Amino acid sequence: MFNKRKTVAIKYDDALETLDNDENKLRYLISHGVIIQTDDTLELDDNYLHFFENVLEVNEEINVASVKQYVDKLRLNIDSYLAADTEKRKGSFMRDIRHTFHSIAQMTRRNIIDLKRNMEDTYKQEPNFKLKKLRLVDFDKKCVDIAELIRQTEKIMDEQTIFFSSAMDVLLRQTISDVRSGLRESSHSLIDIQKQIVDYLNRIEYQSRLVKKIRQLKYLKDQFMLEENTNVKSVLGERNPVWMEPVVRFTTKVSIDFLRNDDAALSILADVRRQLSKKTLIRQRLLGKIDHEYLDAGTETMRVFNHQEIFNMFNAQSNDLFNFVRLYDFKSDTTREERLVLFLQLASQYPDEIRFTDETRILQNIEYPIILPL
Amino acid sequence: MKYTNEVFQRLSRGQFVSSNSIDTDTRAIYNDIEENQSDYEKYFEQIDFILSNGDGYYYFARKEQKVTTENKLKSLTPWIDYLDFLTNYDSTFDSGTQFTLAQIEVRVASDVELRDKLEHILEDKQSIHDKIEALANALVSQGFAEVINEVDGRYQVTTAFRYITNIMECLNIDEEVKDEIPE
Repeated sequence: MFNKRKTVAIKYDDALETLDNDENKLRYLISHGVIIQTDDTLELDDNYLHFFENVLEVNEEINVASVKQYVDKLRLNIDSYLAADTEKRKGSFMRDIRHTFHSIAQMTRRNIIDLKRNMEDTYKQEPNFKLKKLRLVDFDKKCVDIAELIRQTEKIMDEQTIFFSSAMDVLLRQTISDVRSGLRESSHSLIDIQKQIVDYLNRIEYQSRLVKKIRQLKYLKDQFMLEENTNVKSVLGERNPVWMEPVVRFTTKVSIDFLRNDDAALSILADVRRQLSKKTLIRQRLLGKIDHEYLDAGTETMRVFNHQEIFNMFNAQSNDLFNFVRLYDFKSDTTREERLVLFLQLASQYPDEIRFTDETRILQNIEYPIILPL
Repeated sequence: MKYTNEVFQRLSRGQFVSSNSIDTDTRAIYNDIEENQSDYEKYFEQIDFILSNGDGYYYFARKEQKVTTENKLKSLTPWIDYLDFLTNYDSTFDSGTQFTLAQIEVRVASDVELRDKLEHILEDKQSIHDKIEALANALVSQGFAEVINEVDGRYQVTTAFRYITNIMECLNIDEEVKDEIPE
């Protein structure tokens, strides 16, 4: 029942079942006010609920009021001690004072532990953004309250000098120094918690802002308004991150020297060989045989004039180039056209080494220039 | 500068190196860059890469534009959809967040809005599972998340995720249009 105190009220019949159908037990609990019955459902009484929570150290409420009560009680007891006339009564007040001091230190410590746990839980588990923020702000306020109580308790210890000087109690001194160090510890962790709360609140602020921004951008994108109505182009224009570029692949060839000389290359070669292991695959990669016809060496005879030789001969005589070529005694038969082509070839091939004259003559139907050796 | 080769291999492909990586090698690389940042910067500047950093991550950028702004926009816009979906799934989705494919799948199955959003992204994938998987893969290949456990499909978001949210924050929406956007 305690486990489910937050969520559901227990049905009368279900409760009966867990108590082995012993209705007397349930009746007893109800009649003594441990369990409250409303219609068909049962709830734990608030007092017992708090008692369990306190004992099991799982309470979610940070009770600042109770610490305040202790402080007031402390003041009252101190005043009473000073006003008391008999030693016996003083002694009983002193005991009360010591207990109260202890309780204050303990309560403060407990409150801080609860606060820390609740703060973490709220930040990590509360799904609702607004609730999360509200609760954290509330925890922040509680921090301030607890800090104020610590300050007040310390103030009492500092200010009530008359009381402390008149009550020379060893136990009290021991208690006071315990409480002081306890409170110091508490205030340190309190500062930590406050820092953490501020950090959480900032994070929530950041996240809610981001979520809102993304929603807005998404809306604009879906409406095709993103480019027009945001500075997306200039923002992207300023940045040239590599991830927005198409992926570049570097294909580097393996060094032949490495393949030849390095032992590590053997494994690479073995890998390649394995990939090519299917013989059919290798055969498929081979080209067909070369036809024998292409490999037979055939011979073809061509007749070519040795221009340089002929030109040298020309230089060694005095006749003009046209007639020299026309009348030259070649070893084989040479037609008139071939001689004519040769004449033109020689004239254009060695223009710097021959002398062109302005004179032209006509032989049969051919008009030719007179070209002489230099 | 112990990791110039690794840094080049990763960053030149457009990946990020995050400080909260679950991979010890990556963390070692991150720490080495952090310690010798100016040396690394000079080193890579010679081959036209600018070593840039954000809050807990490093990446490469360039001085001059290699891609047109239109193409950059094309690589950015899918992330608007992805982020919209992810922040809708978990408003505190940020670096360090862990998620499993199954978790998201369960939420999508019961949340109409989430399912609607998912249907409009990664349209080449059909089933909800495939889409969520593709989304997680997109996060991983970009270096915004890492696989913790392949068996149960558990992922963790890296600090580099802040890079993309940072860009979103840098975008300013015209004031007059802002009022037209429904809450």
